[in-house]
Amino acid sequence: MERTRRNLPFSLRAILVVASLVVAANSSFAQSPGQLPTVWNDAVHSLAEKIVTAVTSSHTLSIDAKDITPGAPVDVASLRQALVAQITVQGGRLVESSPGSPPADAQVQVTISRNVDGFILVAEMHLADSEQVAIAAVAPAGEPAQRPGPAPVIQRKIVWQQFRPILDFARAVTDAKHTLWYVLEPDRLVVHDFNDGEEVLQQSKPVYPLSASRDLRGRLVLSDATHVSAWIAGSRCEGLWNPGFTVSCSPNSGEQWPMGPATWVFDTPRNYFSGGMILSYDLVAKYPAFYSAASPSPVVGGRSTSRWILAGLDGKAQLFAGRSEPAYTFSGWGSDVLSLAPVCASGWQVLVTGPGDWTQPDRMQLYEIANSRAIAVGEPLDVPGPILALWAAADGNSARMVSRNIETGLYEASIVTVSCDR
Amino acid sequence: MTFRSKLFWIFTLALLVSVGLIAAGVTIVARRAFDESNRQHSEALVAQFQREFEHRKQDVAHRVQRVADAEATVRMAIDLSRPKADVSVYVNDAVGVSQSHQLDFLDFVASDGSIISSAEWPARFGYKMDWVTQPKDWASLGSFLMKVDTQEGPALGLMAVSRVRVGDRDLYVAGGQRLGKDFLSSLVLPEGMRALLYLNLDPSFQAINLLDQAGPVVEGDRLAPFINQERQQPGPQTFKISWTPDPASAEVFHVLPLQGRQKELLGVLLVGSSQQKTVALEHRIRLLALGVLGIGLLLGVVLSWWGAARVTRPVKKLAAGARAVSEGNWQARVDVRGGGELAQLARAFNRMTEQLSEQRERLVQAERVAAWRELARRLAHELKNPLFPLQTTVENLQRAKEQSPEQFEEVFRESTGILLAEIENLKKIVGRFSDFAKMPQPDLAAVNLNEVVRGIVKLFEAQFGAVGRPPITPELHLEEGLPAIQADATLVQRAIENLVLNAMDAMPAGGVLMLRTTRENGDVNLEISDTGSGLTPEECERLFTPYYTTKQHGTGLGLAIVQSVVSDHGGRIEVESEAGVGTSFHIHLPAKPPQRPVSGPGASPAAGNGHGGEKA
Amino acid sequence: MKLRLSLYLAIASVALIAVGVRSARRPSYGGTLRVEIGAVVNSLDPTVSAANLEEAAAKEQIDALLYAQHNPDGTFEGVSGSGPFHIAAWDPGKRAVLVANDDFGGGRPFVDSIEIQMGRSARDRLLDLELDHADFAEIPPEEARAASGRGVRLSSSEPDELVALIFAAGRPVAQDARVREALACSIDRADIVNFILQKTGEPAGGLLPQWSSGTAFMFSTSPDPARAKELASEIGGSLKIVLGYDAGDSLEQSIAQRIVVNAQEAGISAVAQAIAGAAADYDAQLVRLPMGSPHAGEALAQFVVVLNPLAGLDAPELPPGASAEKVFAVERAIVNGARVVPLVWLPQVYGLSARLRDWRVPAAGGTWPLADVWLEGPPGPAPEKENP
Repeated sequence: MERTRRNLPFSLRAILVVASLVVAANSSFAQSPGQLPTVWNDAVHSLAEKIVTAVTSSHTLSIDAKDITPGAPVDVASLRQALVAQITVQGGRLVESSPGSPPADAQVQVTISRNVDGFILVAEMHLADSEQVAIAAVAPAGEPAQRPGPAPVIQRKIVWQQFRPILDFARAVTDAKHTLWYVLEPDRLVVHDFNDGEEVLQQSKPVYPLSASRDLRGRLVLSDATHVSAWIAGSRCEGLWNPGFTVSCSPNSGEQWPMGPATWVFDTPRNYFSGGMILSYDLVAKYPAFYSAASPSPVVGGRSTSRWILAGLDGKAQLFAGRSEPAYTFSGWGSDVLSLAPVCASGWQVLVTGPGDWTQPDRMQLYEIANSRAIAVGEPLDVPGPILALWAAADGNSARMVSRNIETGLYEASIVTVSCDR
Repeated sequence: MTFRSKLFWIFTLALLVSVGLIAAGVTIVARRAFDESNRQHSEALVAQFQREFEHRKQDVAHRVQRVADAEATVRMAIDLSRPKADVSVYVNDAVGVSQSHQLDFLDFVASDGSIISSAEWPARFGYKMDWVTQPKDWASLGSFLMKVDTQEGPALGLMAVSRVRVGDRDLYVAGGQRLGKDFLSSLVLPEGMRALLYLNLDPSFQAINLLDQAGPVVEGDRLAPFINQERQQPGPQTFKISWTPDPASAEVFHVLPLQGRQKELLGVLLVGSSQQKTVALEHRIRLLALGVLGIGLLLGVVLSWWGAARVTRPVKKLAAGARAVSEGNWQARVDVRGGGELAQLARAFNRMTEQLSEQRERLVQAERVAAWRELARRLAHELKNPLFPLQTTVENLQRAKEQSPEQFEEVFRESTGILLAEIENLKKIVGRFSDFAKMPQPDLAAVNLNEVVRGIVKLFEAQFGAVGRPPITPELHLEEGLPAIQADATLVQRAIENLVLNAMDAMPAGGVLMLRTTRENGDVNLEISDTGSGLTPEECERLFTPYYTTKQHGTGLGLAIVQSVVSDHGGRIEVESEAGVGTSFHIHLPAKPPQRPVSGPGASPAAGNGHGGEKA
Repeated sequence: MKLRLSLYLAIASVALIAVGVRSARRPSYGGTLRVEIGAVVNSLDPTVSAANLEEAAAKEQIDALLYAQHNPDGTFEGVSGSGPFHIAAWDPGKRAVLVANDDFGGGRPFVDSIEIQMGRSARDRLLDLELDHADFAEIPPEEARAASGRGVRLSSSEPDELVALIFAAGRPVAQDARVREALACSIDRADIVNFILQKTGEPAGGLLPQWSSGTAFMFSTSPDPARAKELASEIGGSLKIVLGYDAGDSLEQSIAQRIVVNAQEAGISAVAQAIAGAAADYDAQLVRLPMGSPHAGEALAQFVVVLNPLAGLDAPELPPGASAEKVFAVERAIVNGARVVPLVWLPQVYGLSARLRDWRVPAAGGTWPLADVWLEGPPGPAPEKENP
């Protein structure tokens, strides 16, 4: 069942955050005392109105505030300060309660609380002969994009968040100022045009997967900044930004998807690769079915079609080295593997997601494959939700990752890089 | 009643009394034995209950101790000894532990007395159970009875408490078993006995608290007075209650108070002993006794009859002999066997009859001779009177012929006249003897004796007042309604006439002739009295002897005929006379003469050899 | 990373224990999902009335898998089999087998089939989960802690089912406000949660949970034994309150018996009595009120519809989109009258097998997303693809 937050207007749910703006965005939430995020200010304003209406200007009032919600992005003092200011502006007669001074006519207890839709401000107004309650909701916009964290080996940068599912995404820089973000969703391809970090245009075109499924996969490949190809459930779509956005879809004959240096046969209804590797028009190498595959990066002898690690459907990853029989089986790996250019070493390094399911947090671990053995390298990177898609970037140095944050319900598009933290 | 019957009844009665006494004695002894047996059973059951109770107490104490010693309990104690221990995790433990240790009640209680977990009242967690924390040496106290509060209400439990100490904190384990119908079910009771338990949990008697193995006792409120008495004065007592009018429904109860730690009365155990079996057994014994009595009586009757017959056989023979003798069979003898007293008696009887027979023979011979002499004398006397005129007349005739032939004709006519008269006289005499000899058998018909008497008086009326003789006054005392008797009226009349004639002869100077009839048990009596000169005792003795007469011209056959008539009618005649006063004849005639052999010729003097013929 | 307010979010919404998870992250197709439920469903026809609430709830869950559209009012659109599954075997009251529809518009379910065993006791369900004889089963909240301790993989929802004490309309005892208040003051909700529910649940002061309304903190959940005793002494000792509870509900029974103990300690005579059949004789009854919606206004509106006749209330209907203040005002009016005494909030707890993947707890009023779960193990064969 769809949770309510998914039904909110898209404009409120999608937040574009380019990597360069992450810091700025975060800084906007780290407000100083007296400064509240806009949505909170709106709520305070609304609450103040209600309080003044209820208490009327003929009564004095005192305000106390508390926070019963762990994790509220505002502190109580700031909230109270803002509220006092708003009430004063709206004509309320505030008195500060202090020993010896007469008590106010109405005591107002403001509580930062939270309901199913988000934060709320609750004002309990205790008057001499009655009690009233005023409530103001904090708009759910303003979800923080990212919490910067140390990433000694594997670094992940969230570049996009939205409530709608993301299958894949791509970033293209058209010029010094303009950046295009392509986001492939289950039923459409969206392009966002950013000019100096501000979204100036957004367009979406429907895509037509030929088969409905619950674990739909899709892939974007940029030909250049304005041409994008999308593979999704039996269809292949071509998008052109000129600057109007057009998308044309056609059946993906043969279900061929690019993966690493090879093209593989994709099994549309089940959204995995059937194991067939297209070597030529009429030559198909047969491997076991898999979810994802990794071959050594060019710098370590890649572009070869003979060494592969396939993340199989049974939860085991198998290493094939030029033979139809696996050379080794790795257990405890997840569905997604990819090769990255080696860092801090020169061998074949594979980035691997963790086991589990889509209800659980995930983690990424870098392995070095040597002598048909996988050796964990560095610390794993925890991801607060399942990794839904992991595709290597064209340069082989980074990866595009789509995950779903189980805390917030947001789908997050991230760029994963591995650096050598010496 | 015959001697045999008497002996038979004596034997039978003796047997009846003996058997009855024995049966009564056996019944009484059996009842006492049953009572004693029941008492012993009840005492045994009470003892069994006490043993079972002690066993249960030990068992409960062991079970509670085992719970306290269990690793899980110790772990709980250790866990709870920690600061801010979470007791909620243990809230359901008591239920499971109680089931696994077969305890009906189980509470885990913290040092402060608060219940951590309770099996009997799971919802009571957190509340205090202070009595557990009162300083007590629970181990030495063992198990005890107490009123336990449960979810369903108060219950009676056999409880024990164990303490698990960790550091300075205690965990109390209070557990126990319910005393109720299940406990009663565990008691092994002999047939006919049952155990009831009253749970003294309410201020007043509540019938629902009185339990047997199946639950609340039916009609339990009828035991309320006894239980209330126990509630007021706890102590052993015994009482008997009849559930229905049937004695078999009676039940004897032994009461045992069950007390708690403070000697408060918490329960009452009632051991009931049904009287049904006893009553049934008594009934069977009674039936058996009656059966034995009946069979004994039957056997006794048979044996008594046989014994009496055996004992009385010689006596009966003696009686038969005596009867035969009395009937004239002087040859009768008694068969004598053995040497007992009866044999001696029989031999004496035989000797006596032999002697009597011999003497009688001699007497008969003598009497026969005397009778013939008397007859000869009477005949001689009777015949001599006519013979003498005959002789005189013949002599006169001879003389007349010889001496006076002329007168001979005259004398002849006169003499033949005399001769014929005397011969006629002789014929009469012979005829009277002949009539006596030929007394007819009575022709019976219904006869009213009063009528006969009146007729005779009327017949003789002229003679009573005849001219020339002193008058005789007849007096009639005839009972009215005299029943008719079966008799021959002619013979009876003839007999009475003879007596009347006798009376008239006895009163030549006149007098009173009294005739009286009376009734006697259906028979009739006739009394004829005169006021004549009376008779001497000797005359009285021989009065009815034929041909005996006190009169100058009597034949001596009148009273003999009277006696013969009376005898032929089955009656009897007696004479009572006093010289100078008069004579009375008393005749008793039965309503119906008995069937008897007809008097034979022996009745006549000619056949008077002493055989046959009744004598007055 | 943000933390949600609710205590449960940290432990709910995701499986608490991932036993032996070795699967790939992406879903696998195939397998039979073994589901065990306690209810006995005799008919899957939505137009046929259920015998009890338990059957109705289970029926709605199954029908949600069979029908294409499940409306908010609980009705279904389309025909049976138009949903992600269709019925393959149906033994009323005992067993149902649902088979995946390959051409379902919302995507073919991952599992090939669902086998539903009905009428399974809570004990049997837990045992089957422990023995790996079941993949998915409802677990009574009070069993969750112990089940977790025994290694059963659990999943819990937000506390979205209210257990409340409702004074019966028309009963003389219920007419006396002092009686109602005395009983309400005597109840220690925290003890019920901590001991009876084994900390799986929340004390309820209001009709709506904090995570939904955000205003539940304004309702007190603490007992006031002094006030209860004061009122009890005013009322006198002749009064005896009969508390009814569902005869087949052991949790309600435990709560009722605890309330009786609380009341007795306060000097109020009360007795718990099972309600079996229509001819019940009670002054107040325990009821379970599952939220039909995660939104406070919608949930309260549904509660009002139920509570008005039961408790003899005249609470106003809440229009859609009613303000939070209005919702709170109605809620407070109902609670202050003490005809309805909220007791505790219960989460929905599910036991999951180790091979069950991608289970997400439905929101309040939602249905089980069993079409989205998959089973770890060898994948099922892909159907023949049609040439596009």
